[in-house]
Amino acid sequence: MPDRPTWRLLVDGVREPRRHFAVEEAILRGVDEGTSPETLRLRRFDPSVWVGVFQDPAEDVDLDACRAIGLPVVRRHNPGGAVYQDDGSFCFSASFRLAPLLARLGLSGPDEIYRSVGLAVAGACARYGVRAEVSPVNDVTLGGRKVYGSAQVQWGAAFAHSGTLLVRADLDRMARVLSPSRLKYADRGFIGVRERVVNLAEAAGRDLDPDEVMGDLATRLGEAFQVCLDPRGLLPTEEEAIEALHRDKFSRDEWNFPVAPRMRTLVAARARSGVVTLATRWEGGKLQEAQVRGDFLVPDPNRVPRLLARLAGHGAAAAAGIASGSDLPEDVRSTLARLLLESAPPGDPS
Amino acid sequence: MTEPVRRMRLEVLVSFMPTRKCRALVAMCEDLVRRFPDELRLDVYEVGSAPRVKVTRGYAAADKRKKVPSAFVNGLQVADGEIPDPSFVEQRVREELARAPDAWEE
Repeated sequence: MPDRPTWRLLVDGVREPRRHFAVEEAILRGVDEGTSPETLRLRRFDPSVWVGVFQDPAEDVDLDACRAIGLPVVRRHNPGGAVYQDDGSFCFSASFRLAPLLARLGLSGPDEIYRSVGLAVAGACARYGVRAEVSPVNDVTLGGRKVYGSAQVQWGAAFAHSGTLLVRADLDRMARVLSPSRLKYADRGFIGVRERVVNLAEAAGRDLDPDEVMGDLATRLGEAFQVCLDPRGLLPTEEEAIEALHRDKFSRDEWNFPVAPRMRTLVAARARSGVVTLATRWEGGKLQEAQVRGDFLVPDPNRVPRLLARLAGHGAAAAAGIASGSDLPEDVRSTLARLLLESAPPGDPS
Repeated sequence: MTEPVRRMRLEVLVSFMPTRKCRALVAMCEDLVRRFPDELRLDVYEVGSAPRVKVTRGYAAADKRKKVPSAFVNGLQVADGEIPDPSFVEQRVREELARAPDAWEE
């Protein structure tokens, strides 16, 4: 298949979550700058909890339970919800240049990657006799319970699509340490972690080796992305970047536990891809500060702070108009625009 | 853009430099906002500062008697200096939401 590009297949064995995210971001930066090859990376982890870049750990994680168990909590570089990881699950990430990939696969946008990768995951489940369904936006489910979730992040010209498959994870521990907003599942009729997630091994009715499932999925992902995979290690330039990102970003409390600014009004709504919570402070009918939190999906997380900076000083209608015309995904921008109108002061203090 | 919806109001009074109890009460109300999408709006007021929004009639009527922190659901006081049981506040929210929006305070 000479017309297929070759991606690096990277199995680096990094299990510590904060270093893992340093690896992820270093590769993404390298792909953007043209110094790293496009890469499919596979890995398993030490037990840990990860929160999305727009989430507040105190809201979505039982931090006391994590401390009691000794679980590290790390904030990801990509959006989405909080997840618990351990040796019974595995993750992959595909880091590539977005525009050439979309053109080569004939896709209209990154949202279509969720589906094509989801179908590859469903194929891996079928190998074990398990019927799986792609559940938009970014999940694969078995009988309505989630077995796989994914997220995307854009970094300049680079793009990463990452996913996690539960094979034989400790779901009881997962239930103890995650405390997702009930809003996320309010329309689905269930709340508890055990009711909404499932291991592939449980559905298959037998024990499964995560490494075996991971190897099978790698082949399917190569097909989904229509690439050849070449096993290679990290580059020296990537190693340097990983050390710096681990030391200066992902190991720091300033990154993992950001202090929220003082806000005065809070409203929330459910967009198609997740919950959007808007905290605001208004003065004289003008927006002074705004903060957005939640597990909604945005390919380029940098677009959110850029938009919020543009809203300051505007009244509610103008701010909503700016949000509505922004470059965020349609479901997020329309929800945010509405929330801006609903969070505006209902009347003068007099 | 979808049309804005009318939301029922939660209000919390906290001290300037919120205490641990203040933060706990705000967190409880923030959780309610996330759990009742498109239905609640939370405004937090600081003692000693004029509220930046129009307060509900119930909040205004309780003036001078409020302890810090205190909380109001649709103008009805549900916390007065202590952290109430979350289930009590949630029940009050459900009861007030069950009334027609016309019964919600502006």
